[in-house]
Amino acid sequence: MERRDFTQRILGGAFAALLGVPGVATVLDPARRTAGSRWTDAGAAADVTAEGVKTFSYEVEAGWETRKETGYLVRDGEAIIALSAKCTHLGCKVRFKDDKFVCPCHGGMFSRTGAPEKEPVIEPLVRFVVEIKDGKVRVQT
Amino acid sequence: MANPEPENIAVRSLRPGSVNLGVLALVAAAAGLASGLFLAFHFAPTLDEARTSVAFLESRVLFGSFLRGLHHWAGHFAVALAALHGLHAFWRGRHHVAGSLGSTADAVEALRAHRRRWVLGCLLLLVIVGFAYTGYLLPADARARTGLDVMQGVARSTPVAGEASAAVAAGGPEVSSATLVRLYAVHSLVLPVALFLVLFAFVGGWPRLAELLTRTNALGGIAVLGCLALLAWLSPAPLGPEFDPEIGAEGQPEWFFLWVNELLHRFGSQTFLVGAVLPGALVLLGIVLPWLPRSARARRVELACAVVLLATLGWLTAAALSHDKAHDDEATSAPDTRDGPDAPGGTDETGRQRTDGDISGKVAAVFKRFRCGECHMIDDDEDGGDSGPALYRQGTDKLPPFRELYTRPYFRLKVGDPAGLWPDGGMTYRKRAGLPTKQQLDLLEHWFFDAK
Repeated sequence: MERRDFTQRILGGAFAALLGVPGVATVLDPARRTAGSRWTDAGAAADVTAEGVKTFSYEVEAGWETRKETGYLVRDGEAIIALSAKCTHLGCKVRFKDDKFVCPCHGGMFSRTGAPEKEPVIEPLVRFVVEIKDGKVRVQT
Repeated sequence: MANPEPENIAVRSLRPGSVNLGVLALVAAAAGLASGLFLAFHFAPTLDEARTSVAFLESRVLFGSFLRGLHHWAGHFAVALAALHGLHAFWRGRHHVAGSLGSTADAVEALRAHRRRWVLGCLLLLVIVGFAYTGYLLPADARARTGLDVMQGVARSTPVAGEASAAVAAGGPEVSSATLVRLYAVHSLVLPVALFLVLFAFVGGWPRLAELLTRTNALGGIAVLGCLALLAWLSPAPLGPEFDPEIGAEGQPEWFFLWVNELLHRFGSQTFLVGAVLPGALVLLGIVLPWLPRSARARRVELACAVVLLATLGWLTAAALSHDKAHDDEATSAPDTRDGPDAPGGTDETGRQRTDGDISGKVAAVFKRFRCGECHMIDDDEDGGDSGPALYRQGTDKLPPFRELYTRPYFRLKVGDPAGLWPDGGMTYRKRAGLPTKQQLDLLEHWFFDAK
């Protein structure tokens, strides 16, 4: 009886190790991956005016897919700011309304340039690096 | 020492000191379930994404290929071990109650329990084969896409309710993502639940499982796991090319379905009979074995039938495998005939001169193989048939018929599988000739379109 229990335990251990280790490893695998950065063409600089905002779309590699995300371009004097549409509270997509970015999930609010204006938001919207060349805007996302 | 519980058939049927194939099949099945549980985290069951998600798992995810290899081999082991276990049980006459049958209530009850257990065992085997069947279709690579089409085709061959059966099998009028979602639901929800239920009844409750793992069986189980690990590492699960509509059907199903495929191949017009009725009848025969008469003579007949049946299945499988091998051989030896109109006079990669005569000879061989001459007149040969248009090979001054009316994909469809295009008429192949292989089709396409 004693020996039977022992071999049973070895079988159980072997099973758990053989299936569990690679299995759990594959589930945790996405943690190894960081989103690569890439440059995206975001249209003509002249289209980004002092009034309102302009959207641009960029691609993100996620799993086996390449997904399209949307960001905002905002004129700030001479400069152009590229903002992520992701709320810094819990990641909902913000909307531009009455010269503010409003998060529909928990009522957070950002200024036109992405500065936090109303709780629960305390961090500004993420800014992407922008390059303007020959009147064209490029964004590093 | 008195045992408070009644003796259990599952445990009683174990022979001390010898390994039980059923328990080993169970270990393999458990490995399949466990690995499948993790694979489900990585799989997208849609026609467009299935193969991509599997390829991503294989190439980018740490241990992904190993995990899928374990799943793949666990499935094969479960099928093989469960089938061997069933054969072994049959060989030892387990479908009949040992000893003489009395008419006491106890004896009647024993007989019922015995038959019930045999039927449950057959169901278990069916569930395991169901896993393997749905499993090989899920990656939606070229081979699986072919298998999906065949599945729908067999369903469609059902008398009276053909279209309805095909629609239910495919989740719509055509094979689509809905088909894959269906198969995925069956593979990962329906069958696991069925496995647990049937297994529970088969072994008589979970506490029995521990009893089944005697020392020998546990050691056998460890050996099975070792084999799975080794195979998963050395020989990862295959993932075929993406389905290419220009190429069309390719690949064969898993080894344990090859015999059905071979029958479908040979009896092209009897799809329902050989694709559904016959396998169903075999399963039914297996299930009703304990109800068949039992005598020494009946036993001899039974064993003789089993031997003949197994030999036939083996022969059909071997025949199917030899087709496959023939494809491979042709693929490696035949010159590439798909590279445009000036290929025949040119040279191939090895610099070997190719001639029109080469092609012409090969086309003649294909015509002969498929007995095209029985319906078509070939090269003004008076013996040729006249129900189809006359065919002229390259080198003669006449062109193949209707060349200007065909596109290449249409030609491949029509010549590759005419019955699929027009079930009720049009061109047909001789029953035993089968359908042309991809390489033969390449050759015919080249002859048809590129002949000068």
